[in-house]
Amino acid sequence: MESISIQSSPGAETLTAVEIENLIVNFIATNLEVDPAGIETDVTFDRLGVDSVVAVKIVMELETKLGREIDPTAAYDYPTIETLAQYLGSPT
Amino acid sequence: MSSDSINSPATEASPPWDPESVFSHRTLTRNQRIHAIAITSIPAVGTIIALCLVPVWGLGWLEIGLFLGMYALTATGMEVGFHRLLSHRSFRVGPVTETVLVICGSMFTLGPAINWVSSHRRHHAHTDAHGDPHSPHLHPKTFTGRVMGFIHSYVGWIFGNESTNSASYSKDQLRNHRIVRLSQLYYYWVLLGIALPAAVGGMIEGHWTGAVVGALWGGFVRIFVSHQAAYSLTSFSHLFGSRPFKTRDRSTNLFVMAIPTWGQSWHNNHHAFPSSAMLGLRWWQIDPAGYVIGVLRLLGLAKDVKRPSNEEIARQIARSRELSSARS
Repeated sequence: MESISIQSSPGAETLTAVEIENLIVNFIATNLEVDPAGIETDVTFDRLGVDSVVAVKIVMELETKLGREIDPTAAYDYPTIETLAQYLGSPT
Repeated sequence: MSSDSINSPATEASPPWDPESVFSHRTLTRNQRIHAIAITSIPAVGTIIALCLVPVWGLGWLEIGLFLGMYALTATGMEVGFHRLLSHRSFRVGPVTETVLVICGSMFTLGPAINWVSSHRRHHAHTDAHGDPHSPHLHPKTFTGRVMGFIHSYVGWIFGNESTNSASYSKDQLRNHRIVRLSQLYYYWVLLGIALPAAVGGMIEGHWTGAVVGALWGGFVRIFVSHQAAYSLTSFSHLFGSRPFKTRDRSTNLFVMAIPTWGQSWHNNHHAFPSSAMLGLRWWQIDPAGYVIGVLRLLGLAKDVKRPSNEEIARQIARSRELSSARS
């Protein structure tokens, strides 16, 4: 798998994988108007109603929250909430 | 036809602008532009090659048949599937019929189902006003502005850098995993739209030239011509023609484009009654997609087919006449 460049910016927030998971779950629940309890973190994004446009919106949201640039292909290379959050989260 | 009655939201005010509903992102912009360049240039080149081959191979029933057959199939997928079923939910079908319609609509090659639905719903939410992705009326009222407005509405808008947020406009379709998957497989369906007529042409001719004829006439020429019909809807259908319903937009009815657009050029009828499965509201208003829905209904494949009652149509026409006389 290709490495993905992430450029940290000053003042970037570090969040754990679990916190990032919650962020993504809440984003999907709010935007698709679904119950967050029903969102599984180990299924692929398309099963959660995330198409290519929503995937980019999630990446944009994470860029804002984490204060750093994220390659939009991250959602393809790490296609579940769990794997994406682990990839982006700080080690706990 | 005994059908569900619908209310006309034709004169409702447009919904407030949601800043989240449209956005720009470099990756999506790049992908959209590559798609726009490909779908405008490749079928055009294919059409030129097909025309150059006419003096060599002739223009026979195989070419015409594959062109018309694929045109009808993909126009049905687009107008019945993407437009009247997915975007407006003007009737209901089972998952198999829906899947077939969405695959045929994808073969029309104007983007994946969810993207098309989102952009079309945005057009309805803000028709001919700020936020409409393809209105010819949002440029300055100068000669150059009008020309630019026309170019933008005809084809220019597909090259734009904006993305319509599917989470704002298509929550219902995003919650349907089958539709999300079918949308993700878009490019396979586009290729199928070329491979299918190639296979049929090859089998009929029993020779490779039949496959080339099929790919050219049932694939590239068909995409090129059907796209001009689709572009006429976003441009001509908001510029020229009659307006029996005084909707808050500038949509028109255009008889001449009724067959090529599979009925969508009854565009003023459509903006007056967006959730109607029938766009031809009178017997002489030719509406091929409406006839297909009628057949699906007779076969028991389509249910809850919505159409405004004659009283509702008469009421809206009377109201439009009152508005016209009040203005004059």
